[in-house]
Amino acid sequence: MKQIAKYKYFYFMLIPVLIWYAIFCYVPMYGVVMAFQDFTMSKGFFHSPFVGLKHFEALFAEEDFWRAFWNTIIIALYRLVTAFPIPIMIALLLNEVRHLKFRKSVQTIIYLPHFISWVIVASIFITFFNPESGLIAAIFKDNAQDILTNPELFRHVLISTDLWKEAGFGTVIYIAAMAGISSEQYEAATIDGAGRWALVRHVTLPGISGVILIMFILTIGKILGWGFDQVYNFYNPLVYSTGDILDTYIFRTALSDSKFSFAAAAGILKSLICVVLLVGANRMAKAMGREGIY
Amino acid sequence: MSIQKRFSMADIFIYLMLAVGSLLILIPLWRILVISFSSQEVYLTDTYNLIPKSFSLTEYKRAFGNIGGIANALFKTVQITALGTALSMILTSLGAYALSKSDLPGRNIIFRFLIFTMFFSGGLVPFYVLVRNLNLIDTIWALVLPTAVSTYNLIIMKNYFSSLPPSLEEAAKIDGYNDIQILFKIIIPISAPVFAAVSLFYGVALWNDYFLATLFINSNDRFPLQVILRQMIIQDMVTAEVGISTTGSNMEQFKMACIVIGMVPVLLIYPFVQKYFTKGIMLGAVKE
Repeated sequence: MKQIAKYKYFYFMLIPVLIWYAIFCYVPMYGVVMAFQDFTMSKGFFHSPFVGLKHFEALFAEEDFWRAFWNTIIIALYRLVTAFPIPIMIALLLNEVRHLKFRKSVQTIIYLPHFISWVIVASIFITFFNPESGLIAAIFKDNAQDILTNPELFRHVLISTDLWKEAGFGTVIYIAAMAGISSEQYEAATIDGAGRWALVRHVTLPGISGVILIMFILTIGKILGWGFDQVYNFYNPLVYSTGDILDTYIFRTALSDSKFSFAAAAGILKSLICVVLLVGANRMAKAMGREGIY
Repeated sequence: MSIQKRFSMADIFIYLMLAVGSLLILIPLWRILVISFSSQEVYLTDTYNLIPKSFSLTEYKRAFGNIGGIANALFKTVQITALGTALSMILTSLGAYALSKSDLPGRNIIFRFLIFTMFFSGGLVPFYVLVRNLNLIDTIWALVLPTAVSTYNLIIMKNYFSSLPPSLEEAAKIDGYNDIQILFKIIIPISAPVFAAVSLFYGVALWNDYFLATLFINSNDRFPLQVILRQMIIQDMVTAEVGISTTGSNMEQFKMACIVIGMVPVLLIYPFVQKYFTKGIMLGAVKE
């Protein structure tokens, strides 16, 4: 008790934020129940009838759900092999630049798009790719095709615009980690006769491997929820076949069709898979003898 | 050591790659800027619109003349960003400071309570129902409260506070300060870097939000700028929403001017805060 009295001011400081978490994070978790009800706004949580697994069965029978499910997985894997390693490579390149002014300018420029909203990025590329008035029309003249309505190209559009916006900012964390490697390590390796490439392989990369692993686990954990804002601003019904992901599917069914319980069921399924992936990735890291995230 | 060495092939490759990458980022932004400031004649005759050949403020005058509610939406966005950032910073910094005390009884349990939300959430639908039940629909609170705290930002701040030397607080204690006075008189003044970085992250997210506004705002005159931009360009709803014709090429120029208005405030502030994305601040968040 005496301990707690001593810390009373700290508990006061915690009250507002704890209330916020309780209301905005934990109350919606109770909403898991919705997925097992026929939920309507008027009846609410307490009076909507329970229907068991009805919505999950309906979900599994829905073709659009499976389409969104597989699109999510494919796009996520595509992102994993591009958007995950490329920032590491850019950071390694930047780390080799000794010309400080050049380095700072490149950093300022490549971080920039991270701060622009997906609404604006999509607007920019929609005008850019406009086959009549965009830059693409100026370059390809009459051969310019409408890239944004072509299902075969849509995933590439997602990946390239994601790289355009986020690859630069993704380097921040690795550059920070590289700054933490002591210069003595480089000096010692140089005395041992290590060349430039050897320094990257035997000093820089091992020095940031812990951070790379943690970023990898975190990436795996969010992989299914990756890119709602992007897809939602870029896609259109013509590219649903390759571009509709779980989050956009849930968003449309919940809001345009008011199928609240059905969409909640899809949301829970997604959340569960995310937790399983995260725990799995963390176990794997620990099995490899590395530090996990928890 | 490598400074004395002359440029090797590897250097040429590295500099070239980074320069090309930077150009790829700048060109689309640059073209938007050039078109928005071009006169209509030049815009129509120039194929690439990459070199500014004229200077005209026509489209900006139209935008601030409140065509399509742009000026009003800009004002709303400023309000949302200011209120939201203040609210987020108060909640986050108080909580982070308390949690930075490693000997606080119950700290670990409380911290797990927060961390858990990073990995599991109830999903979109219960969240939507909650905000409706709280009667926040169509108010500014629906845009600032539901996402007021980011656990990621809270961890950044907590780790920054943990890294401060405890001797500072001990000295203040001897002077008779209580913990709240210490926070305001000692801790906050020396924590400018982390306050700047985290405020930027919150501010940018609020400025850029269209999602909460799409979900929770019904009145056209309460939409923030991003929603108007979305309707105007992505959904191409100009005729319906704004009441001016989409035909005519200077509609394109008008759109570009609006894009610039929507992104420039953020881009002007960010370089000043960039220097605070330092080792301690960024790494703290992943290592937790």
